Amino acid sequence: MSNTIPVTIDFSGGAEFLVKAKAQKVQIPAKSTLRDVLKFVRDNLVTDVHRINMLLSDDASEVAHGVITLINDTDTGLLSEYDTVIEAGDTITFVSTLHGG
Amino acid sequence: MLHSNGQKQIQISAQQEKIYKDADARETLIVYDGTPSGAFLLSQIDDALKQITYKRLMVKPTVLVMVSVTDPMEIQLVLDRVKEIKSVFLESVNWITAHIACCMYTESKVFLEDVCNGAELIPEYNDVISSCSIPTYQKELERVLKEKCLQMIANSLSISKCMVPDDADDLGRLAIDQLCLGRGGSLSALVTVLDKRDDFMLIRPLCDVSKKEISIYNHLCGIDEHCIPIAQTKIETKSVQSLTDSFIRTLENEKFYSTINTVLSTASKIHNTNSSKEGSRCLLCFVETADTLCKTCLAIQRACTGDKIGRFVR
Repeated sequence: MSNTIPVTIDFSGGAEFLVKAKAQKVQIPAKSTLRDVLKFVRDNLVTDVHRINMLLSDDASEVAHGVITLINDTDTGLLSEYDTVIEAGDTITFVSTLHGG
Repeated sequence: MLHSNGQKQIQISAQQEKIYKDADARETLIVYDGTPSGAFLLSQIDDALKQITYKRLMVKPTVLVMVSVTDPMEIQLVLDRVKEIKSVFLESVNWITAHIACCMYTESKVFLEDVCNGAELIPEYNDVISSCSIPTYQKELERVLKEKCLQMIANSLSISKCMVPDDADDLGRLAIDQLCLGRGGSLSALVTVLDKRDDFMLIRPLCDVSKKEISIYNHLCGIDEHCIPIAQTKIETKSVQSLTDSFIRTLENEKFYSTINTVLSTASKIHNTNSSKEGSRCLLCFVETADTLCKTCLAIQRACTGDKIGRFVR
């Protein structure tokens, strides 16, 4: 039995400029929670480390203020927030509300 | 559902307030500032104009792209992105790009397409802003000059109505800021749908929609591709505005999500019973006052070195 599951991590609303690509298919450990995904994003996907605070808190335990997290297009506030267990095939989306020009 | 709610919100705003009762004055400036809220407003207007029968929004829009960045490279980036966005939304209407520094114009101007109008005045504009030594008043001066810029452009184009993409989060913070700055008596006009100022009218159709609702809608409908993301300007750490922001953030982090709604619904009921009978207004911020400048603008003027504010009040 595989210890990892495939998920898609999507960034939009400006958050895509902080990472490698807008949508990325990755493998994460099975039974990971959203909180584990945040750490995965910090360690593996973020490229603009100087502006990581626009996406995640200092210890990557939460998203930065103004960043919305969705799992399969559902607000995680309606699920178990950071304790939501991620399942194979899920799409986790980070939507930022950056300011415009 | 969010989609129809957004459109309904704009329709209701227009109908309840009887903004468009005069059939001859349907020209409206639609402000697009590159934010998710700006892109949302454009998409809603675009959709509403495509509707048939009674659902159609009867306005004649002119899109004003409001630029606030000062770096020439970033301005060019905005112009390039606007060309792309124009091909998606409201392609058949006039688009004008103007820098916030247009507030420095002293008389009506002819605005050209495909260039950033007013960019030549950026040094002069920066000079005025930097002349203000108190961070709170500096931020407030930026806000006031932005509104002055909108009014200046609207007057130049002979348009009396201007729709801005201010959402509930922006206006909730603004309400608290204005209370702290001593404009409590004018709160209602500053944060509700309609703000009538003599021959100019500011319309805020998104005043009941939160940033979160807008961002989720934009993501689900692919509108977030039509934003122009520029890193948020850093708010001075020691200002009323930054304190307000951290106050709201703390409450939201503690799950008090309805703070903004409560602030806005209370603010909308606050009217100045002692406003001047002649309807005279502050020459800088346009709130009702019996004097040439309101008390807050007088304080801003005193905080500025030299006579930088004088040009706006003559």
